[in-house]
Amino acid sequence: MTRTPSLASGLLTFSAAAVLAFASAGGASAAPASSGDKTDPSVASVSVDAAGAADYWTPERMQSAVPGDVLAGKALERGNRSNAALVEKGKASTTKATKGKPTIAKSETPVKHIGKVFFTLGGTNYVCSGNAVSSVNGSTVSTAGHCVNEGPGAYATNFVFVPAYDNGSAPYGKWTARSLYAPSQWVSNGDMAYDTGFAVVAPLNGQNLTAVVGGSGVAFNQGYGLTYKSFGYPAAAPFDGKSLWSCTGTATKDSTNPQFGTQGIPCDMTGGSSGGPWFIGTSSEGVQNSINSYGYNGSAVMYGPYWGSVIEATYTSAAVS
Amino acid sequence: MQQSPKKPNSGQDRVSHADLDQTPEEILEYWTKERMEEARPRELKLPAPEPPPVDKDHDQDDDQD
Repeated sequence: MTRTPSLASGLLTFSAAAVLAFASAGGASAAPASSGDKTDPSVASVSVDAAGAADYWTPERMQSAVPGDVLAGKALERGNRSNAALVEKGKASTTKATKGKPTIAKSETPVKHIGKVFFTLGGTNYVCSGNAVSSVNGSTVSTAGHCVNEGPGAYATNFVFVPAYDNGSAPYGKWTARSLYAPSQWVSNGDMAYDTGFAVVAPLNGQNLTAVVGGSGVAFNQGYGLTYKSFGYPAAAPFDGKSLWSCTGTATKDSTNPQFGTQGIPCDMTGGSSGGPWFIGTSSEGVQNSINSYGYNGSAVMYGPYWGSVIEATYTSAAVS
Repeated sequence: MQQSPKKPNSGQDRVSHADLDQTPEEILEYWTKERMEEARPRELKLPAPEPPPVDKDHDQDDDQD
C-alpha cells in the first residue's frame, strides 16, 4: 500500500488562493471618473479602481481614518437641504437581503493547545495547524506528515508551534522544534495512510509546552465511523488563516482511494488547516484520533489517516524523546 | 539562519525522525512578522474522482423511450 515518489510529489499542490494573492500584489489607484447616471438623471455615479483601493487601505490608514459623520456635519452646515414637501415619492419597493455562501466550517474561539505551525521545506515557508498532546516529555505536538516532511524527502527546518494563535498574536509564545517524527512509510514513500507527524519542542522560559497550554489525550486503534470534531486554521479563500475553525461529522471511508484506509468528515476547511487535530466526539476536550490530511478538488470532505499501530509507535517515539 | 536537519533515521524502523540542528534563537529570529504572514498553506489536494463511465447503449435506450 505505497505510492511512488513521483505520484506523491505530483499530488502535492498549492492553494489557488495563495497564487492569486501573489499575482494581485501591486496595482496603482486611478482617479475616479464622475458621471451622471444614464438611466436616471437624478442619480450620480462614479467608477473606481477596486484593486487600487484594496492596496491603499493599509492597517495604519484604516486606524487613522476620520469618522464619516464629520462629513455629514459639514453637509448640514452648508444648509443645502430639500423641502420635505418636494421629495419625490414613488411606489413602495424592497430588495431582498443577500447572504454570502455559508461554509460548513464553524468559527471558533482560540483553544489553548491548538495552534499554527510554521516551517520551511525546499526553501519555501509554509503554514499548517497542530495540537499539543499529552506526552512523557511534555513537549510533543501533533500535525500532518506533510507538515514535517516532504513525503518522500527532506524534513522541515525552522519549525515553530504557536498555540492559540489569533490574528497574529501568540498568547502562549512561540515554541521551536528540536526534533521531528513521522512514520517511515511517509518519509520514504509519501504513503497517504501514514500522513501524520509529531514535533518535539524545546522548553520556553524554563517550562515545557503542556505545562503551559495543556495537552490532549490520544487514542489509537479505535473503530471506524466515529463522530469527530476537527480544528484548523484554513488560510485559502474564503478563509484567511487568522483564526480557528472547526468541522464536526461522522466519519466515512474514502471510497475513491480505499487503499489509503482513511476516513472523511464533511468539511470545507482549506489549505492551512492541514495537521489540525480530530477529536473523538464533539469537543476540543476529547481525545485526539487523527489529523486534517487531504481533500479532493471540488469536494467538501476532509480526510484523515487511521491512527493504528504505526502512528502509535511514531507518537510513542516522539513522546518519550 | 537556515540550516538543514541532521540526516534522518529512517532505516528499517517503522518510525523516522530528524534532530534539528538549529537553536531556538535562530528559529525565532527567522520567523519575522512578514514571513509568518506570507507563509503558504501546505495542502494535499487530490484530483476530483472521475465520474462513472457512461453506458452509451443504456442512454440510447433511454432516448428511445
